[in-house]
Amino acid sequence: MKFKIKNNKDKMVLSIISALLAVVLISLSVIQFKSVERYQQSDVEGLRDDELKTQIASYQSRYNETEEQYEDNLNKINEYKQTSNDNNSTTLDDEVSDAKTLLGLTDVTGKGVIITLTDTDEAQYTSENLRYLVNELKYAGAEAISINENRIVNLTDIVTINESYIVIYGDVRISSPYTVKAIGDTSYLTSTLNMKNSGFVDLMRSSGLDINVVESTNITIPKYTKEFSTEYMKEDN
Amino acid sequence: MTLIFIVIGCLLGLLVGFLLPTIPYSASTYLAIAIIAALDSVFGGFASYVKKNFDMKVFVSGFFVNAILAMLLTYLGEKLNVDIYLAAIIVFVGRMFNNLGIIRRYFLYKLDEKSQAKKSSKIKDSTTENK
Repeated sequence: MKFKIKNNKDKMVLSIISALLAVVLISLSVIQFKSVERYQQSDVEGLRDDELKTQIASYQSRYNETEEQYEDNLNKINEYKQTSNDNNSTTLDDEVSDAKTLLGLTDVTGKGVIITLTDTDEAQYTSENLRYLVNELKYAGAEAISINENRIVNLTDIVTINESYIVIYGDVRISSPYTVKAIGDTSYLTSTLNMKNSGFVDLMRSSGLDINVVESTNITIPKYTKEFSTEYMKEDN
Repeated sequence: MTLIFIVIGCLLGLLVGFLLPTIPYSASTYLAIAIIAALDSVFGGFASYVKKNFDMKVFVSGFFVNAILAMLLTYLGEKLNVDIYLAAIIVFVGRMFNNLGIIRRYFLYKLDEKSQAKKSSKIKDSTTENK
């Protein structure tokens, strides 16, 4: 009986120790499984040496490729820079300034004529007279025209309001004496204006108006100071 | 009874293992070698149980001391830049196969004994019937 109890006790101890060892072994194994699985999923840090080596090699080749491309692009950029320094930007600037000059957005100087129109007691200048003069000047090849220092551009209108005063650009009132400046070929301009009977000078003088045409080698015409605003027209692509 | 305890221990170990956090990658080598050492001890214990010379003290001390020693060797190997843990694995796995062979032979012998007994009993039966 006594022996049996002792035997049972021994068996009990053996069982408990075995169970404890099983706990330790299995839990450690599970931890290891979990860790290994996690590191197989996550990158770089969990990779084996040879895998890392191949990855490094591939990255290196990719890096070299990218560097080559980068250098190519850099060379291209330098080329573009050089060519643009050579001509592109200057031609573009030229174009822009040309367009500005044509539009009347710059002060311009040159030879041309200065026409002074003064109302007399007999008659007064009308907007029609001024429009006719501007048209005549344009016909004679005037490149820039101004009336009383107001630049005439493509959108300029000259109208009479209430049959009493002349308005330019819709809101700038001008009055006698009118000083009309025009830059262009002086001989063309004067000959067109001074044509016998049908010329502007003769027409005005026959109406009893005072007109004086002076040739000048150095006329300065100011730029158009207002905004160009368009509402309805759009660039047609 | 021992078997029931071991099964309970295994289930408890599964639970504990799932609850505990994962370990950093650099430590996983040590844990792996410790597990191999412990497994070797378990097989060794089973083999000695089969050979009827099982000793609890030897088994338990082998279980822990082997694991710790293997881990220390791995650490030393890392410091020396020599993969000592490979040698440990070779030794442990070799011993595991050795012990497995002993266990296998024991069970084969048992099976053989049983079938022999059956045969002899059958022969006995047939002889009695014939009579």
